[in-house]
Amino acid sequence: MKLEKEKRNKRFDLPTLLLALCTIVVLLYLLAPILITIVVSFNKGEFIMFPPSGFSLRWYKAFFGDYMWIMVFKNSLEIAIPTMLVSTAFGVLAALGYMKRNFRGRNAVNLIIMIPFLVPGIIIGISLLMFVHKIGLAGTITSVVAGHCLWAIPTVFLLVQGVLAGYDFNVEDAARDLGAGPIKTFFLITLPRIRIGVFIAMIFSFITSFGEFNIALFLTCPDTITMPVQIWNSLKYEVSPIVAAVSTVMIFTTFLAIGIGAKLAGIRKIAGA
Amino acid sequence: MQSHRKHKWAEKLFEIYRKNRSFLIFLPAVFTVVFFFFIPIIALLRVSFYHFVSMGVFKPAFSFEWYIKFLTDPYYIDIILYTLKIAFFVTSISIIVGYPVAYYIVRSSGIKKIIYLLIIIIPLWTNLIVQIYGWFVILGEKGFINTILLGIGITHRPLSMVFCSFSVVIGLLDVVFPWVLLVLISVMEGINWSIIEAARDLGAGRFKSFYEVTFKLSIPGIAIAALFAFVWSFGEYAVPSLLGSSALRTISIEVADQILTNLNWPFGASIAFILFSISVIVLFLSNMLSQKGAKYMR
Repeated sequence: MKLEKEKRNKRFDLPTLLLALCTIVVLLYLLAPILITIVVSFNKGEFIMFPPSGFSLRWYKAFFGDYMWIMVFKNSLEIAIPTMLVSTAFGVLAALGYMKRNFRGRNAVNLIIMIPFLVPGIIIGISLLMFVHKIGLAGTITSVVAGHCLWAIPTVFLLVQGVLAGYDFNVEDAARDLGAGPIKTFFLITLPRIRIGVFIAMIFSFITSFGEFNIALFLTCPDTITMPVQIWNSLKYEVSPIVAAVSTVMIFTTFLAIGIGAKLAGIRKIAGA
Repeated sequence: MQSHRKHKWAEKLFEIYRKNRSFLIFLPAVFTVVFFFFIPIIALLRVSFYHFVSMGVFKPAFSFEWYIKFLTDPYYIDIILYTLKIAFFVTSISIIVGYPVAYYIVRSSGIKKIIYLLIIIIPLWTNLIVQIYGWFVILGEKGFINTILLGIGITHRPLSMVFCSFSVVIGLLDVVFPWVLLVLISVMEGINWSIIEAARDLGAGRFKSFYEVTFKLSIPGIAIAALFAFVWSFGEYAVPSLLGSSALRTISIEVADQILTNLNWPFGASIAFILFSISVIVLFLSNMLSQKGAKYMR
């Protein structure tokens, strides 16, 4: 009763107003560095300045004309795409097994898969750096993919668990009872019903790898260097507008991936994920 | 006789396989994590006990010298204290500011709520290095804020806001905020709002009902969010290495420097292992809390 009355008087409610103000400040804070980067990338002048001295695409021309940046962009994709495929396959399987039934060791499996996700990236980076040297994978794309999978598999595992929360496993059992093998059941029954969730998981694992820095810093060599590491390298010396253009290209690549996912899955599901 | 025995063994093995067949589904994921995470971590632990001969050369040994050095040398104690201070500061701000924001978002509805949630998730989608670059542009000497301040005439010299603890905190908050908000929101979404209505109908005032019901029910969530924020800001490398000053070092910077610059792997590995143990302890704490919290919410 009282709550309803208050809702009607909401407009002049001081605490609610303060809360709203606080929320807007925090959300602006979260968006500010991204928006500013995009604005700066279209700057006409030689230096970063406000307000921008005019609109131009010169930094994008510089980016697309620079062989080094194009190669780095290609490296990032060559690492992110295998990471996406491998981690989606492994993560979806694990999530299916995890959600299907209660068994002894369920918590242990969850813990083993999730731990790397919650450990500082620098620790994964240095321990893998030493390890890949020993097994002869140093400086290869495979080593970076392995490192990224340690974060991408838990991402997929968590997301697909969410999708499977409302999934009826009886249908699968029915298919098995009717004589379908486990592989046939998976491709004909399970996968079509969770394909949107799997797709979102794929996109998230791609983004995880594409933007990852701490692991890549240690595992990449000059031939396999990725975008975040190269941006980091150039930030160490100067804050050049070309980095803004590079960053904007990264932001839009990510948003393109999300846009495809949102189109296929409906924006509400992504927001809730 | 012999063959019969063998047959029995095979049968037993098959029985074990049949009983645990369902675990095969975890094999790819678990194998990846064990092979590329647990084995390297154990190898790292082993190296942390080695002697350091010269750059890049070590002698197998079993000594705690690097652990003792890191935990007793005043130079490194300063680094530990500075890292703790920064992580503590970031955690406190993120919770104190994040809580009201999460509360407001949970109480909002419709398209507004979706937009709020999207804005929280966007920084998680964009990569950290890009955000750090953005902060350079905002806080830098010729950056956004200084241009405005100089333009209005509040200051006559640009304020230096990068390469100091302030910029590190700003950058770390950017990392931590989305996670803290998501944890707090998901916990508050689970609160049964009719309890509050009941409290109000029974005569509790607005603030009292908030404190007694909403706040007390969200304490486990606050604890988990705080632990996450702490682990994240404690082990983060990119933010302090770019936005921090070279005089104020954090533990993760020390790890990277020992390994990449000094090539002193045993020392770097020992510091890394201390960092790893701290995060694992904190994560076990949060796991315990969330299980307790689940009981508490019922």
